[in-house]
Amino acid sequence: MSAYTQPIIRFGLVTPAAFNLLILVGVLSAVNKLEQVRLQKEEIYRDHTMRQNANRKLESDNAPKRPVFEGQKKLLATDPGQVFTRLLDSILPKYKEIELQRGSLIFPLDRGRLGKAVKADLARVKTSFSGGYGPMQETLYQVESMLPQAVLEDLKITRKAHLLTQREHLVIEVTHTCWKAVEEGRK
Amino acid sequence: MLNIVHPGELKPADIYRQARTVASKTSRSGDADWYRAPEELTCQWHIWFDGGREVVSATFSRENCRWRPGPELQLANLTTGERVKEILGEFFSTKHFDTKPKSLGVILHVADEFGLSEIVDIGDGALEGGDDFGVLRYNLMDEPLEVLADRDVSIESTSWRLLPFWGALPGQSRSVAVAMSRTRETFLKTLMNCGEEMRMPIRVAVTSAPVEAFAGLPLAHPELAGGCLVVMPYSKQTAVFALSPEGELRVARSLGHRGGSLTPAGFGDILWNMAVGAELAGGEHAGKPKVLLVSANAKALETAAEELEMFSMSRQALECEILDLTTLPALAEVPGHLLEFLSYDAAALEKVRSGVAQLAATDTFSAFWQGWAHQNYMDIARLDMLYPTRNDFKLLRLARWLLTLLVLALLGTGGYGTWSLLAAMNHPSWHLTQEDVQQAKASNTKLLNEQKQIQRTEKLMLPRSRGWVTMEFLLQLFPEDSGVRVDSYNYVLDTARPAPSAARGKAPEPEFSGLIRSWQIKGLVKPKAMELLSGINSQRGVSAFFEQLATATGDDSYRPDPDRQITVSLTQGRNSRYDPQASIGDLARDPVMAYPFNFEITISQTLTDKDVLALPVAKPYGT
Repeated sequence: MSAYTQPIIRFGLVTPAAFNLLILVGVLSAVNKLEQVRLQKEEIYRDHTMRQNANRKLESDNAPKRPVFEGQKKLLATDPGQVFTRLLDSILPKYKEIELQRGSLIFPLDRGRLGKAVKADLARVKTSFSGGYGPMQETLYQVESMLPQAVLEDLKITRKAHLLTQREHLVIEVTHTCWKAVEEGRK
Repeated sequence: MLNIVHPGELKPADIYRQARTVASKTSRSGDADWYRAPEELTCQWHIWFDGGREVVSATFSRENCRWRPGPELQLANLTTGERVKEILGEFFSTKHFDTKPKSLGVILHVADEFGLSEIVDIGDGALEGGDDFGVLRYNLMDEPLEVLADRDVSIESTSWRLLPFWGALPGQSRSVAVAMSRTRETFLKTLMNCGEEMRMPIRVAVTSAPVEAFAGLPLAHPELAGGCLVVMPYSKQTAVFALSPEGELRVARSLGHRGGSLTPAGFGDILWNMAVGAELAGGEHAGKPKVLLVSANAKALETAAEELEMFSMSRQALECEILDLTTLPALAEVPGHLLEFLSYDAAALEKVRSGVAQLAATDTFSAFWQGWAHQNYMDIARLDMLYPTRNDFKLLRLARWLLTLLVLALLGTGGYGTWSLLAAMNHPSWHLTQEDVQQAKASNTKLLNEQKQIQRTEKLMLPRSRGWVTMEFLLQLFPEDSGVRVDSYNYVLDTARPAPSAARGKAPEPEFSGLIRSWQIKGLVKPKAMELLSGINSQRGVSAFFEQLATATGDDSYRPDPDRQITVSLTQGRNSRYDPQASIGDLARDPVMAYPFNFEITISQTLTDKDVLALPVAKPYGT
């Protein structure tokens, strides 16, 4: 080993190697960090792109249904009791008393059989009529056409004879459950 | 020219800097000849002088073992170092070598002095073998004052090398130091400096001509066996070597000439005494001591021979043999017919080794030819210490490669990093902001929520139980004049699942609730309608009726499906008020009398929570 050997090892080999390795480790660490950031950003971008595609598909699905949905929302926002009364008031005058006559119109406060199973808001309308089968069916057709949110919960038809004339007529009791829904912020 | 400082005077960082400078500015790192001994180089320049006016200059090519006359050199040049560049320039022609030399070994054979100094007496038997001579040889080079008997000498002006006596008698000195003045180093250093400038390795050596000439004796006189004094007269001194009968060197002496004489004073006496001392004459060794006179200088040979002849006649008889080197065929091609040069010819040495020369097999000449005869009196190793060794250059190259490798790795990694960064920056993901992501997320949530609301509302609003269809059910079941009189008709729609509170905490709340619809009809029936009732009182009959009703009303809730279960229960009995004899008037008053049977039929339809008409449990929207 000459007088040059140790200084060459120290300054020519060890120091530059250590310095370079240090920088190399730093650069590798930075590259690794950059790679992580890049992968993370690309993953976010991939998710974002997929989400945008999903949004476009959702939009294309929802857009044609939106007018119907808006109409349904309007229907569900109305008070079915009032609508029911107004409809009957407009339909029943067309019939003679013997053909169809409204007995009672009540709005039960309990949720009924359907209401127990679901969480949707609802209103029940219980009406009784006396008269013939045909007018009754026609009236129900008209009311239910105007109130698609109404579901027939029960129907009871019994044959009765008039006390004085002994003439037979039908007593019809109808209970409807009408769905209600109000958007947030519109209550 | 490079200004090389001894590394001992530099700081480690400066030593490293100097090593790099030497590596880059000289050819030392790539040319191994810088580290070879001059006699190992292909092109050699041999200079011989004995203090006379003549300087013998010869070139030797190891490649073809050819001797040629060298450049002309004056004795003054050896002291002053003048004309060195000019002389070196001559070597680049083909006059001295076949090709232009890439390196040059310069060997100065000094024959004008042959001083011998005693070695300190270490003790009997202390120096027995070749290894001990080796140790002593290096001690003499490194610490001469520790080894020399006379310590009152100058190591600045003189250098010493060991001459072992392999055939020394017991009680006599086993070795002696050959002294050489360092006055000619200036010339050789100038040569070396010129070599540095020309980037051509010039390696130098100063050797003792008498020792070299003695080492070449078996080449010149193969028949010589030993038991004689070998006398080599030079201009200023005569070297005498005593060879034992076995051919080993027993003792050596240097005899100085005085007053321009070619022989020393009392030459014959000295030789006689030396022969007696070496046990080659006198005592048990009766007879004339043999003396071999060896020289290429005819005049010196003649003078010495004459003086010894006179001594032999007047005092003691000597058996003189003269070996005139100028007449030897082996030296015919050697400039100056110098025996000193012959030991550098490897081919000639090999020839003698494999030949009949008895001396070739002795320890003395084997050792001489292994390097003892060519000892360099100039301390080249000390000069070489100024420069990095070959291993240092290898280390430097390794460091450079390693550094290059690391820098390449660094550049590669940096390049990859930059490329990655640019690629990442050019990717759309780089420009995506958190706001964009949040906006898309919010939009997605809103749209999903809207979709859910639409689906739930659609589902909720499906026509699953309508009054007018329920009434049509009865009309379709018992058409007019079918022979059936209905007294009561009950329809009930119920859910097929328990109330949400009952199932809470046990299982996840179902999304949908199944439905059960039941129709109960009581009335009277004539015999002709019995078949109608029987028809409905079967799975096939009731399914066909539901299918018919669904088609007639367009209400799909009646559409039969394998998942929709329909059950029928029919009870019949006799009408107690039936009167088969009743008149038309009676029947007009009480129509019941016309029906012989009464009945009660109950039809149930179950829609599971998987059915399209199942009720959604959750609110369609809102709170």
